[in-house]
Formats: sequence, C-alpha cells, structure tokens
Amino acid sequence: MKNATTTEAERAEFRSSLRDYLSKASPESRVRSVIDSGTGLDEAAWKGLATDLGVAGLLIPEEFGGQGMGMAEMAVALEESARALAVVPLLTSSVLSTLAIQLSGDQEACAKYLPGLADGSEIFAFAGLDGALTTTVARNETFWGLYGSKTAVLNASLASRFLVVANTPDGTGLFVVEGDAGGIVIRPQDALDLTRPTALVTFEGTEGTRIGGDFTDALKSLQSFGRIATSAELLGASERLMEVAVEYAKTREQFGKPIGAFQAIKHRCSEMFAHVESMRAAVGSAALVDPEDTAALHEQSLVVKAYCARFAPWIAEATIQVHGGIGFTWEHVAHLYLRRVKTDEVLFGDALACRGALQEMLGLTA
Amino acid sequence: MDDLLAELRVWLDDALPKWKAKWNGDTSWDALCDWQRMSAAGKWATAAWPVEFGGRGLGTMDVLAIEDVMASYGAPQIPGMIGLKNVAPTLMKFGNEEQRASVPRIGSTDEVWCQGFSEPGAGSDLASLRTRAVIDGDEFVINGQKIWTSNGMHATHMQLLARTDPDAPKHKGISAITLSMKTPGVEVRPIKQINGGAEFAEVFFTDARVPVANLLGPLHEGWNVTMTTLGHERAGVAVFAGRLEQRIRSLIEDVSKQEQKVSPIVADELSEFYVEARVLGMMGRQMLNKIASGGTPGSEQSVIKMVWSELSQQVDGVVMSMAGVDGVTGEDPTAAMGYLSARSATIAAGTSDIVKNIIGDRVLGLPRD
Repeated sequence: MKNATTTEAERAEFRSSLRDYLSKASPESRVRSVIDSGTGLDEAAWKGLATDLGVAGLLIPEEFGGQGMGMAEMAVALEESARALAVVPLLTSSVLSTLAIQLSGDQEACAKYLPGLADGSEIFAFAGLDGALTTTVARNETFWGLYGSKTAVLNASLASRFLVVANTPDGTGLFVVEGDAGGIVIRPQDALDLTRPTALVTFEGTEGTRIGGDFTDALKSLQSFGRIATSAELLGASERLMEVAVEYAKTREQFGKPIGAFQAIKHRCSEMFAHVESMRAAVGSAALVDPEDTAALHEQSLVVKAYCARFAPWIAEATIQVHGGIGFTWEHVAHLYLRRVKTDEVLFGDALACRGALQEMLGLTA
Repeated sequence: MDDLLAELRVWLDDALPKWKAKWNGDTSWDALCDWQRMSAAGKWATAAWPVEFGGRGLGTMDVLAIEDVMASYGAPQIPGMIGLKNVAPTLMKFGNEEQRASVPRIGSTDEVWCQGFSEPGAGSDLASLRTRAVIDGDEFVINGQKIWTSNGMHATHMQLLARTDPDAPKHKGISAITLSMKTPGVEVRPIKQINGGAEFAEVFFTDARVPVANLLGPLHEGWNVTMTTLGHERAGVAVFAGRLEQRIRSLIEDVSKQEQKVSPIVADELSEFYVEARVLGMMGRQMLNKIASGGTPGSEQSVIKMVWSELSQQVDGVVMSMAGVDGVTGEDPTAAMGYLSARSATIAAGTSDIVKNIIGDRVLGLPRD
C-alpha cells in the first residue's frame, strides 16, 4: 500500500462520484430491505462499488489488479459507504484482509489472493480483532491446525476464506483458512449493527496455511489501519447524522416555530458540526500518514480513534435527542446509524483503550 | 520566503541585543513601544501593510512566518497590535488625508489607537450600542460610555462607533469617528479584572466635541467600515490552535518527567486534552493550508474559536487542580493566575454562546431565535 497518490481535488471528485452512486444504489429503503432479506449483502451495491468503481482494489497494487492507492483514498470510500450504510463487506475484505496479506510480506500469497479481492469477486473475512491471544496453534506436517474462537468476525457468512491471526510457539502468525475447511463452526451473532452481521468463528483443528513469518509488528500496523478505517466510517456516519438532525430542527415546529430556533437545539447542532469538522481534520491527517512511518501511524491512529470513538456516539445520541419521540422509533433511520457507530467505536480499541495506550506512550502512567 | 526570513534573522541578531541592552529587563509600555518603533522602522511590525504605507505588502503566510521567527527569538510583545492590525487598515481604506497620515505614526507608536466598540449595554449585541454622536454645526457632540477598550489607558486616539441615526435599523444608524483621547469631555478609567490585571479601560464621553471631518467612511456606514481587517486576522485563530497544541504537549512532557506519577484519572484527563489538542492543531493547520493556497476560510474560524476557548479553559482548570493546595495559597501563583485568566477565553472576542449561535444560524442555516 502506498501513501496518497491523488490530490485533494481528485479525492473530492472521487467522493462526489461515490456519494452520487450510493445515494441511488443504497438509499435507506434499500438498506432496510437488504437487512430484512437476511443475506447480509447488497449484491448490486457490492458489484457497483467493488467492481465497477474499483473500490475493492483501492489498497491493492496494480500488479495484482488493484488501483495501487492508499489509505487517503480508501478513507473516502469508507466514509461514503458508511454514510449510506451500504450493506457490503468493504471493511473486512477490502481493508483488513487485503492489508493483512500485504503486511505479511508474503509475495506468493499476494499473487495468489489479491487479484480475487481486487475486483470484489472474492470476499475474505478478517478474524483477529482480539489480536492473537485467543487461538492456539499446533503444527503438523505441512499445514497448521488452528484451535480456538474468534469473535466479531464481520461478514463471516459471505467469506470464501478467513484471515486468522493466531499464536504459534514462535510468536504471532497470520493464517489463511478456506471457508469450507473442516472443523469450522460459524455461529452468527445477534449483531447490534444490522448492516454488518458478525459471527463467532470456532476452529477445531481447522487446517490453515501460514503466510509470512512473525506477524507481531505487522499486526500492530494492521490495528493502526483498523483504527483509521473505523474512524473514517465514524466520520461518514456522523456527518449524515448531523445533517438529519439539522434538517429535522429546521422543519419540525413546536410552540409556533421550528425547534432549531431554540438555543438548546441550535447549540447541540453547532456542537455536532464542530465535532464533525474536527473528525474530518483528524481522519484526513491520519489517512495521509506515511504507512512506512510506523511510529507516526501508531500515534495518529490512536489520536484519531480516541477522538472519533468518543464523539461519534455522542453525535448519534444527540441526533436521537433532537428528534424527540420519533427518534426512538424503529422506522427512523437514526438507530441504524447508532448501531454502526457503537460497533465502530469498539473495533480496534474504543476511546478509553486508545487513551490508555497514549498515556503509556506519553509517559503519564508508570 | 527564505530570503525574507534570512533578512529578518540578520535584523533580529542586530536589533534585539541593542534593545535588551538599552532597557535591561524593563518590559514596561515605554520599553515595548521602543521595540515596536524599531520593528516598524525595519518594516517588520508593518510587514502586512501595503508598500505605499510603509509596509512590505506581504500575505498571510509570510506574516505568520515572521511572527513565528520573532517568537522563536523571544522578541518582546508588540504593544500596538490593535492599531497595526485593526485600525490602520481601516484608516488606509476609508480614511481622509488627515486620517491616513496617522498610519505611519501608528507604526512608530507616536500614536496609539484603541477602538471604542463595546458598551455596558452592548456586548454580544454590539449593534444595539447607544453612545450618541449628534451633529451640531461642524462638530459631533458625543455622549455615552465605552467599555473593554484594549489599550484604553495608553491610547492617544480612538476609532469610535457611535449612533448617528437613532431612527434607522440598528446596524444602519452607526458611524465610525476618529478622535484624540485628549478631547475635552473624554475620561478614561481602568477596569480591574478578576486576575488583578487592568488591560482594558472604560471611556466616558460627556459632551465631547469632535470635528465632523473626523467621520471615518460614510455617515451611518460605521458598521461596514469596522468590519475591515487585514486578511491574516482570520488566521489568528489557527495560530492560537497551534499554540494550544504546543502548550498541552509541553505540559504533558513536564508531567511525565515528574517523579510522582499523576493519578490514573488525571492521566486520562491529560490524554483527553492531548487528543483534542492534536485534533485542534490539525484543524488549524488545515485552515492555514487553505489560506496559503489562496482559499478563504469559512466555518473554520468559528469552529476553531469554539473548540480552542473551551479546551484552553479546561487545561487551565486541570493545571489548577494539579496544583492542589498550593494553587489556593499563593504558593503556585501561575496556576491560580492561569485559572482566573482563563475565564475570559469563552467570553472575549465572541462568547462561546454567540459562536454557537453563529454556527447554527450562518453555517447550518437554522432559523433565528
């Protein structure tokens, strides 16, 4: 993965075309009907995004069929797809799995797996949100046997393969597991985010192919990218939430005037705006960090996630508050965003966890 | 820009030691004015002014870079900022010949200007101001009171906003008038602040007579006239953002070096400030980049002001609480001073409540109250 290869103006244009496409392909009505279908995938939107618009291949080098771009460009895609709550496996397949394979340094694995990911024809799910610590591995002749469970595996039911982070006797390892391998038990979880089903995936001696060597440092980078990616989603969701709240404040009338005229509502909206603008600056800055500068990547990812994970939930909650009773209904869109926001808040470390890591880095804790 | 800053450094290497030797630690008003005089003579304090007014005609980024270098050398604070940045540009744009002649004197501190805007009854609602200027022959007769006048005690002149048409809608009945602070009927008193300082004055007008020729800009157009400032004034908040980020970084560095670790709660609070300061700094830099590439900042100014005000107040709050008993017994005077002074961060230059109204009304398009 490279650093940004586009200009700000080009990214603005990219954002525009994504927003345009998704507003038609993934309006709220579509999102709700895909949710109700239980498939966990908006096939048409995935094809449009991943294949036609090339979003699945953004982080994949051109030699493997991708766009050869970086986090700055993918952040735009994550933002817009979260804004639309598109029911697609963008995060787990096109970001986490894609990056995991590349960060392993295993060129054979890149050549074998990246092309299928690049055009969206293959969907991989990343199983490693809890790091390496829950799965132990035993070696047999050529392959490894994986044991243990992984929680919060996003879009597990869509995956043809899993990227699993696991413990080995000589450190952390990254493993590719075929979706139809023996010994896999996929138990769908009752995920809060209706647009992105998760599963508890249990491996009972499941065969896995190790790619790359010691994945410890690579995992740290992957987690940094994960924080930036979830922050980009939080930004996209927050901006839409704020718009919805402001629109309501302009149109809902009580006591003879639009409720946005009352300072309590007005100030809440202004504070939302300030947080969205702050998030935008933070995501923009973090997404532009040189991926090779691991220290800066780590610090900036903690800063951006600490900020977004704290204030995006506040914005979602404030949006419901501005709407009063109607915000508390299933039919109103607010809770769909709230569910996505609360989930992204937690993935790769919430605000408290990120601040804890920063405190250590800053020497504030013993 | 490199040549410019190289020239500045050469000038500073010569001028700053001379000033220090002359004043020997004295940082009184006179000492600071002498520094400004020197800086203006070198066209540094006046760098943003057009060349024909004795400046260098430089843009925002160059001016900020000059100020950065000055700060890094520990150069003294320029005392006549209001004159240099606010009044002089207005005189250049709207002034008659005599008013424009004040401009170089503002640079040299031969004239020190203040602005008579706020009143006891007109703060956030400045347009409701009531100081009255009635035309009598060829003079204005001025009655009223101004408050929170920066530099009021030192000023030789004032750019005054007064009501000249009480029947017009409030923004449209105001005129800008220039006057000497020695005008009979003008009385100045210091305002003592909660932190013991007195940087502002009250100014009372009792039948003060000022020539009609001192009108600045068209009659009844005072509101528009005073909205003129140099472009780099907008950048001011962005600089504040960067400085607060730096302040918080330094604070945390100092705390981290203490033998006794702070409590986990304080450590978490400090890390929260770190996060918010880093993000504020990013917003500030983005705003400066926009200015540098010729763009005009929009909502950034209000957002940064809002965030900066509340964050800087919170930092002074935590410094005070870390000082504990020492903070309330005078053993740690800077903690208490910082805490008291910080109360003004959410009030001065636009209260946070007004800033939030502005964002709501003008940026988000919400209906007015």
